[in-house]
Amino acid sequence: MALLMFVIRRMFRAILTLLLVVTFAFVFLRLAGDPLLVLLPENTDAAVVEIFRARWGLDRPLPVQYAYYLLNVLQGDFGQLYSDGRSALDVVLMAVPKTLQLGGAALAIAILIGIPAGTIAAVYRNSIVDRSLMMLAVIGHSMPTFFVAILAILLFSLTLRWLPSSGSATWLHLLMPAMTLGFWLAASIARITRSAVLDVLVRPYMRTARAKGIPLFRRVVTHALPNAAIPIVTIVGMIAGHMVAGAVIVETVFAWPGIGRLTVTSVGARELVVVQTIVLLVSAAMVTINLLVDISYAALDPRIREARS
Amino acid sequence: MSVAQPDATPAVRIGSALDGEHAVSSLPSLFAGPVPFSIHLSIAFLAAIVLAGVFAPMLAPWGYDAQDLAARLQGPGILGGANKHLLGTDELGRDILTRLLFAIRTSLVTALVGTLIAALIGTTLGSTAALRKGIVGEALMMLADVQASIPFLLFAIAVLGFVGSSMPVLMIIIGLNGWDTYARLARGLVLATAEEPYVEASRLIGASKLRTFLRDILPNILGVLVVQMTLNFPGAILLESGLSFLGIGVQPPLTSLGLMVGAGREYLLYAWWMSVFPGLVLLATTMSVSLLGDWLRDRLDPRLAGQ
Repeated sequence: MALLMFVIRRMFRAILTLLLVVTFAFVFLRLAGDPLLVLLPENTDAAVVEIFRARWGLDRPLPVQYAYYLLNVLQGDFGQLYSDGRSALDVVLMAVPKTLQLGGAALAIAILIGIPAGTIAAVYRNSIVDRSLMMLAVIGHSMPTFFVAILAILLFSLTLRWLPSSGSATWLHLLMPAMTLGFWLAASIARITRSAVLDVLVRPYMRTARAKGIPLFRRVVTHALPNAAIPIVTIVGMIAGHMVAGAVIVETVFAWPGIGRLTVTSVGARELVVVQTIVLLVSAAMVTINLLVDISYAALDPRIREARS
Repeated sequence: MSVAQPDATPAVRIGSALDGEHAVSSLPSLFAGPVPFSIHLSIAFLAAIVLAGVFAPMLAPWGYDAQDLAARLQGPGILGGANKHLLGTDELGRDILTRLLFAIRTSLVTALVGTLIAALIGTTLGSTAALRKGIVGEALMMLADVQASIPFLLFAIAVLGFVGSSMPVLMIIIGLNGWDTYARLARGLVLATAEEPYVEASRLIGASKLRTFLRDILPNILGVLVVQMTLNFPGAILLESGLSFLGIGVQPPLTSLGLMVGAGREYLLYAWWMSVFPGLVLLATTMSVSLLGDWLRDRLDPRLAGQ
C-alpha cells in the first residue's frame, strides 16, 4: 500500500514536471516572436496575414491557443518545419538512433573504467592509489569536453592521421566522440562507485566473508559490488542528464548527426519547432528514467517509501 | 532587542557550532594543518588568473581589437622565431595573448555572477522551504527536483538561440543552472542549525523568524555555502564556455575562453595556438577550482569525502 501511494505521488510529480516543461515551451514560442512573420514571405499583404492568422488559430486568446497546443502535443503533433513543412517529430526521431549509438558506446566505456576505478579506490582507501584515482576523477569531471575533443582531433586526426575527425560513416568515426564522452562520464561513475563501495565495506557481512578466508578479489566482486549496485544505479537519471549535455557539445565538434547536433543546427537555422520538440522529448525521456529509477529503488528498499512520505 | 541580543561575535558562535553534531566550520580554520602541494599549486594558479583578469587592460601588450592583416595566423613567439606576438595571432592578425587576458576577464566575471545568482536563489528558496514547512516548503523542494530532472543545457540553448544572447541573459541562465544544489543544501543546514540552543534562545526571547535567520542561522551556514560555491564554480565556467563555444554565449566584440576555442576550431590545421592556449587556461582554471573545492569539502566535513 505504501508502495502504491509512493508510485502515485511520484507519477503525479512526473506529470506536473512535464506540464511545466510544455508550458515553458509554449510561453517561449510566444516570446520568440510572431510565428507568421517567420513563415510568410516578407511583403505578404496584411489581409492575407490575417487569413493565415485565423486559419492557424493565432487570432484566438492565448489560453485557448495554449489548450490547443497542449492537445496537439498530447496527440504527437509537434508542428512542422518552417523551411520544408516536414513533421518536426519525424526530423527529431531520425536523429535519435545516432545519439543512442553514441550514448551507448560512451556509457559502456564509462562503466568499464568508472566501476573498477571507483572500487579500487574504495578498497585501498586513503592510499596513494585512491588519492591519484580520485584526483583524476575530479580533473576528468571538470574538463571542458569541447577542448578535450579538439585536442583529440589535433592529435589523432591532424597529427597522427589515425582517425577521422568528423562524420559517422564507419565505426572508426564513433571512436573519438565515444571516448571523449565516455571518459567524462567515467569520472562521475568512479566517484559514486567509490562512496557506495566504501559504505558496503564496513558492513558486518564483509567482516564475516573475510573471517571465512575468502580472498580479497572475490570478497569485493561477489559480496561488496552487488550490494553497492543499488546506489550506483540510482544515479542513472543524473548520468542521462550529463549525457544529453555532453552529447550536444561532442556531437557538434565531431559532426555526429544526433540530437545534440540537430539542436545546435536548428538554432542556427531558426527552426524553433525542432528545438522545442527536442526539449519536450528529451525532458519526457529524462523524467521517465527518473520515475522508473525512483520506483524500482522504492520497490527494492522499503525505507525509501517511508522516508519520503 | 538590544538587551536580549546575545553579544557573542560570529567567531564565537561558529566555535560553539563546531561542537555540535552538525559541525559547521569557518573558512580560515579550513587552512589550518598540512596543505597538499596540488592545493598550493591550484591557489597560486588561480591567484595569477584572477590578477590577469583584473589587470587585463594594463597587462595586454597589444590593443584588444588591433588588427594586423599582414601578420595573420602567426605562430607563437615563445616557440622561437622573430615573432613579436608571444602566443601568436588569429585570423585577423590580433594578438592571442591580449585577447586571452580579456577572455579570462569575461569568463571569470560571467561565471562568478552566475554562481552568485545561483547561490542567492538557492539559499533563499532552500531556507524558506526549511522555515516554512507545509505546502510552500513542499512546492519549493519539488521545484528543485523538477530542475534536476530536466535537460537544462537544451533549455539554455533554446532561450539563448531564439531570445538572443546578451551578458545579463547569459548570467541569469548560468545562475538558474545550479540553484537546486544550494536549495537542498541550505534547507538541510537550516533545519539542522535551527535545532541549536542559541537559535532556540534567539527564538525564545522573541526575535522574528527573519531576524533569527539573518543573525543566528545564516552566519553559521555561510562557510558550507561558500565551499559549495567553489564546487559549483567549474560547472558555471564550463556552461559559459560551452555555450560560447557553440556561438550562443558571449558575443563578439567581447570574447571568452570558450568563444576563443570555438573560433580557433576552423583553423586547427594551420593555427593550433588559436584554440589550444585559451583551452589550456580554461582547463587549468576549472581543474584548480575543482581540486580546491574538493579539498575544502573534505576538510569541512570528512563524512562528505568522495560524494
